[in-house]
Amino acid sequence: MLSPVMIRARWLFFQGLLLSSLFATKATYSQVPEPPQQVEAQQIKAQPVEAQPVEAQVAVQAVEVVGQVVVEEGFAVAEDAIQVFAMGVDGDPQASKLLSKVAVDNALVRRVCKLDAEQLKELDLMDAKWVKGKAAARKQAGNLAAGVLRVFAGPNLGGVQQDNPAEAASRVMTSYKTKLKEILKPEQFAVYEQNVKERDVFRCQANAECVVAVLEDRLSFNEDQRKELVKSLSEWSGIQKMQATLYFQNQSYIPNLPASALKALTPAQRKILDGMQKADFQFEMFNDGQEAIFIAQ
Amino acid sequence: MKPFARLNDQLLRWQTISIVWAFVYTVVFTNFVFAQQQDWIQSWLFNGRTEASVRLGLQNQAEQKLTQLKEQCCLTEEQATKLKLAAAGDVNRFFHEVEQARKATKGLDQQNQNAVQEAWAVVSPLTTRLNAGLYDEKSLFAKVMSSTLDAAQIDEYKRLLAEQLERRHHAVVLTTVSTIEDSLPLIADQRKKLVELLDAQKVKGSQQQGMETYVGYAKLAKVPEAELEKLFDKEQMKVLKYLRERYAPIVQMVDR
Repeated sequence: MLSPVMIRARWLFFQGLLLSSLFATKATYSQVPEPPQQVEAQQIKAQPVEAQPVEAQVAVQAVEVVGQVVVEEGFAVAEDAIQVFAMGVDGDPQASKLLSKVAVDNALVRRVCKLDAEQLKELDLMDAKWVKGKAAARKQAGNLAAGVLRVFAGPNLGGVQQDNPAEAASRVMTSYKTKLKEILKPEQFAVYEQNVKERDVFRCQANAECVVAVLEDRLSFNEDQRKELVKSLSEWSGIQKMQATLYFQNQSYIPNLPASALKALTPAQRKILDGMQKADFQFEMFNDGQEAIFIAQ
Repeated sequence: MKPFARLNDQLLRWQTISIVWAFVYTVVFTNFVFAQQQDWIQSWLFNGRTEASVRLGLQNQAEQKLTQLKEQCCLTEEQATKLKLAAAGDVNRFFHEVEQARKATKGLDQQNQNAVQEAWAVVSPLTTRLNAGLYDEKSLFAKVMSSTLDAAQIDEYKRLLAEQLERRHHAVVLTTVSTIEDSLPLIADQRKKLVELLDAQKVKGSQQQGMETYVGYAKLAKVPEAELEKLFDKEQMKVLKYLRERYAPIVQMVDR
């Protein structure tokens, strides 16, 4: 004969089984399969960097120093440190992206800051090797167990966290600006900063114009509304990282926009806007990930 | 105690059997019922929204469009009423097709890839129409408009559409130049002149969905190289040449 405890245990087991079967069935049918076209769209081909040229800009000096950057034939020209289309830094797409940012800014500094020979030499030192070094720094988990594990298993185990690409980018660019400040005279650095600011403002305005053009299809603005919307959206902090042109390709979505940027809309327009589907397409999702992404065409 | 213990054992056995049956029944029945009840239209076409909210959204859009037309093309009340009816007709026609598609996808076996493909072939055109907006040139709204508005009003409407398209292309040009700046540095004057150069290149008509994003690069590929050489130095031109070659095949597609 079964003891009362066993009877209760069996009861609970079967009840659990029954409930889990119900949940499992519901879960199965709440996961709607993607329609074929959307599945295709998701198969964004994440090509390995070795397989397809990345639009990474590699200073020619960097090619010489590192010696491991494979440069696409015909692009390696020695006069300047602008941009050649390279295959990446040691097959590291994240470092390639960061190198691209540094190389572009180096080239900007060369064009706008009127450097002397000494400064040019120092600028050249911020190359692929420098970027790789800065990008490679990783945070270690601070807990005791991880520390003990590291002692026995080596520095790469026991809680070493993989770096977040956005954090790595921020760290590299902060280091870059600090170094640049050391190299340049204050007035030269101010010129550089002014140019970077203009570039950022331009990007914000471009994205704002795109968002307004997308919204205009559904909301029909007058001239004043359009101007006011572009202005308020370009001042919104979220606009800079937006991949705005993707809203032309995905017309059923609009970005999540703050109420403060939409004061120009009428209540009727707000009502339409509220009923539309929202999705945030940001640069990080496409360009600044771990791998360079190419959309299969 | 003994008879009671036997009864208890018997009860437990029956209980166990009934629970197992209930389990089997639940899995089989709910699978069947969910498969029958699953609304693929709501999942695929409406992205989870209700039909009522999609309908309301479309009606609001029509209302907004009419308000704009009234202001900009000076519609009479009679014209506005006709257009309102036409827009309602477009919405009704769309939802009639949605209902047909719903019937065609009812009871779809999601494990059967061929069936999923066939169902998607039915839903896909509706998705495209819904995304593009119902009031395009093939709509009842457009047909009624061409027969109801007078020549001056039609000209004004065409001018407004052309201006809107130009604004869209200008927006794409701006983002294209901004993206190019990820690959080569531009000073303020170069940026401004590049935007002007690209804006000056015309591409034909409204673009098919998805291609509009490439309008900026297509325009870059159309700019005469000599014009760019006046603006950019040798190293900058390397990047621009690369981009021009890369996007040259797109020109034909965008320029249709």
